[in-house]
Amino acid sequence: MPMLTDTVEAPTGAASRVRPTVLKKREHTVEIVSDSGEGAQRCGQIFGAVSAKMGNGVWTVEIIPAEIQPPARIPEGASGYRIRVGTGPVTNWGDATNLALAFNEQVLLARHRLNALADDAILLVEDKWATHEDADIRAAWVAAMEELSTRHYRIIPVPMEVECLRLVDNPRKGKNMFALGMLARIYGRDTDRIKDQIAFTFRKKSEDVYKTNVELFERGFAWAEHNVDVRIDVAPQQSADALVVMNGNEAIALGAIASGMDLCAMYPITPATSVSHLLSEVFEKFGGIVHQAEDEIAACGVAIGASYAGKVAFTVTSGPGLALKTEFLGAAIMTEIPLVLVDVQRGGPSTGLPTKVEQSDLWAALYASPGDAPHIVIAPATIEECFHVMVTARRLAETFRTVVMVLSDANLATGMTPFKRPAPDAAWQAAPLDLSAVPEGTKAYQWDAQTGLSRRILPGQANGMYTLTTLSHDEGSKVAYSSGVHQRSSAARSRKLAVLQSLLSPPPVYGEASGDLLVVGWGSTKGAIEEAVDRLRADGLKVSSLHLRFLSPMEPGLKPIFQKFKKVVTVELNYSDEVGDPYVTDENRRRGQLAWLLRASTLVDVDCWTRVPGEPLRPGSIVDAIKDRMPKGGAK
Amino acid sequence: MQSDPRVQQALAALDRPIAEFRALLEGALRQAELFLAEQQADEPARVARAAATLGQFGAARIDATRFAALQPGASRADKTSLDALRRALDVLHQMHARGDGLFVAEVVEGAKLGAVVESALSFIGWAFGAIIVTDLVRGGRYVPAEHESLLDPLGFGGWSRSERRAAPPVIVRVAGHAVRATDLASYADGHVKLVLIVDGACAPAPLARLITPGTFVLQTTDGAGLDRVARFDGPAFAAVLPPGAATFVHDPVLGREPWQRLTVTHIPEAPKKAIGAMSTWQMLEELKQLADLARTPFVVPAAGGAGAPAMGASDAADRIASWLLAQSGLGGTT
Repeated sequence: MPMLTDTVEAPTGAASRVRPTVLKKREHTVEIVSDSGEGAQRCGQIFGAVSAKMGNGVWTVEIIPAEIQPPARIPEGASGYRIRVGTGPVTNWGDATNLALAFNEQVLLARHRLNALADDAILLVEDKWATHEDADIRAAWVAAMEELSTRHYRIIPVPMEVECLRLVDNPRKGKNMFALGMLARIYGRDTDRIKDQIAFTFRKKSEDVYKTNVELFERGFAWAEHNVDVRIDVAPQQSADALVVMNGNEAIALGAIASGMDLCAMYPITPATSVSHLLSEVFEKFGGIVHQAEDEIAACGVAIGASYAGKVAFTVTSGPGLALKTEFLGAAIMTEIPLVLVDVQRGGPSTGLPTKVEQSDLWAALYASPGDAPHIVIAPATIEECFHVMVTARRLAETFRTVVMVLSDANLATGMTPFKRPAPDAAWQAAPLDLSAVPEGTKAYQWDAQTGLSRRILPGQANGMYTLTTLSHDEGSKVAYSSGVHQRSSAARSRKLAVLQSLLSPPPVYGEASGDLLVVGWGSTKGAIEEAVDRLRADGLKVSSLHLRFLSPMEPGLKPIFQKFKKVVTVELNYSDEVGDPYVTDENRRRGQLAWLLRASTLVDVDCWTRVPGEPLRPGSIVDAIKDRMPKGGAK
Repeated sequence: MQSDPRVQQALAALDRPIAEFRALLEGALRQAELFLAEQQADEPARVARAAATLGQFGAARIDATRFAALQPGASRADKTSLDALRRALDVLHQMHARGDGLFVAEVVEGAKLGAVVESALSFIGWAFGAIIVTDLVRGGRYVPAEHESLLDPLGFGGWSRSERRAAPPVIVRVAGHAVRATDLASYADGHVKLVLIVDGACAPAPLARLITPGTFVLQTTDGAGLDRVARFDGPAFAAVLPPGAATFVHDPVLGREPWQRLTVTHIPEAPKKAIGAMSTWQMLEELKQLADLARTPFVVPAAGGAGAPAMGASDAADRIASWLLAQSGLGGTT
């Protein structure tokens, strides 16, 4: 692995190289935090991508302030990137950060106050604030150091600005690469790969920008070489499989292309927008189009229109956008026009927490539209599944002539991890349907009495002309208000979900098939839940877990699985009342969204533990919650 | 021939209409192959295919056998129809296999430009017939006596309106002495786009005679403007000529009058000697035609200037209008 040598000029104050202590770790969590706009995220993205390319397991999480440009040097403005690096696969962001690199002490304080830092964390922090000309800033530094001293952190001051000023006039535009250099030295990262990644990151900028960034990187590397006395060795492990590294939104975009989608109609909304950013760069090369509509409603309409005309279309949004699309979703379900809708969930209700993760759209996704509007809802649980789910979603939308909602979330959307390189199959891209003439007399909705399915006909298809209507209609698409027709057509639309459920396999149980407590989850919490289950089982507790992907129709066989456990608890990233809260009784308690569904569909007394912290769940928090909920006599 | 950088430049500039034609070809291929595969598939093959279409996420959770049973089966085709379908597929595969070569032709010594263009378009026209055959077979409407001839090459004269609109561009490398506008005029229709890459001595304005109100015409010596050929919504001719030739662009969207549509950037002296079959008088006539079409009918007088009937004002009405404008003191404000 290529490493920098002493050919780089020694940094300021570097009398001699320190003799470092090497800590061998199976995993380590590092984060870079700064004020918004200082590039900590870019630094973290490069570090994460390179670590994954070197063969480490990686899971990344963006640390994003609620505002786009919060004031500088306030704890609430902390912006950054957290990377959990492991020798083996890493499935979630873990519990606490072991090493943090901060551009000021206030953003570090924010992480401290959120209990994001391990008690023995190493903290590298820009030290210019300690001697700042503004007395208030100096006082803030002193106060922060005092507060941080209540834990066993090891704080290493870093003259980042002084070092960067030797190379650039505006260190605000360079500290992140200096920081990257320090981390590369501390973690022994492959410098050639990092330079490649810098080149890729700045591919749209000039050669000078690339060179300056590499110089800053090298300066940071050399500074750490001479001044930081610790090295973290998280050995990479080469995979036999070819791997790719991406985040969930990129996976959705590439999955859409691989599945033969023709059109992505969308309106920008955090945290879904980056799906369209990637597609805008590459979709046309594969014959696709990104259409940015004038609003969320229009985006949905365009996708439905394209699908009606025979194209394979999808739309991407987040909670507030989903709310606006409800009328059109009803239209697609009523007219049985295939549509894939990706909802990258964020905190709600309303505009809520635009940049923060939550799983609170489940009910909104399930019920989607006024009136009885049955449709399919699927939730990928990993970034890899974000890719593959698009292929399935397309096929189900076309086969069942309905809306398929894919529920991702901000954790999957912005997290990055390596996974096995998909091997696209030409069958994924098969033409949606035979465009030859339909037999004379074919009706637009020739519902099969058993399955409710009917042949899809496109405008212009010989013998297939019909008038499309969102009003209640009969088999021939003729408006019909009679009770018999509406009952029949509603049954056909609903029956399709029963048919799909009959095709599904019961979900596998993670751990033993019976025990004291079963944790049930869905979506991006899978990695944290399974790590928690592993820890609980290692403690001797009879805990297993089950993770659902199909939420409408619900996966089959749940009740018999649940009955093999003394207690069933959902773990979710949405709000629920706590037993014992004022006024909250067992009768009026609002439970987690999945818990409600499971109780309704299985009549099992499913409990829940849910939180809305605006960040992914930590395995340690799940462990504590499950221990509290273990049935009496179930604990070791 | 395709390695010629000018040909590469033209292919790059015309990538959009080329991609559109390819999409047409590939779409038809995919549909026809799918139909044929379903005709030949037994139950296990159908199930395997259904599982494949579900992808990794779905195949792990959905019973592929029962999912396959939900897929609408293709109608059964008789042997004659399937034979026709296979021949149509052969044609489409041949076209597909040619890659960029499908859109590039060369006029070899002794051949005529018109014949080469006709041959290239006729080969492309074969695709339209093949696509129609795949559709007829899949719909169970193929009648050999009526439709067999669709599998023959189709000369441009037989192309329908929609086929002319779906025409891909053709890039033709040709020697200068073989360039004759009259060979090309009959292809000015639909979305036909012909780009000549010209080598050797050539008449200075060979495409001037192709300027008509709705046809985009470009003469360039460095390839500039070829992207506009690709974007133009109608028929277009372009020639990449040796240095020294006349350079101009006639873009129908720029105005109602010829001088509004035509921008001439260079008019050379007329050659002193005949080139190929083109006499010096003919070449001079083409240059004059170009100059006449480009000439502004009147020059707007400078503000406050005396103004005078402009050079080139084509009729009495124009001259009066020009004079009145000058007299009113509004000259230069239009």
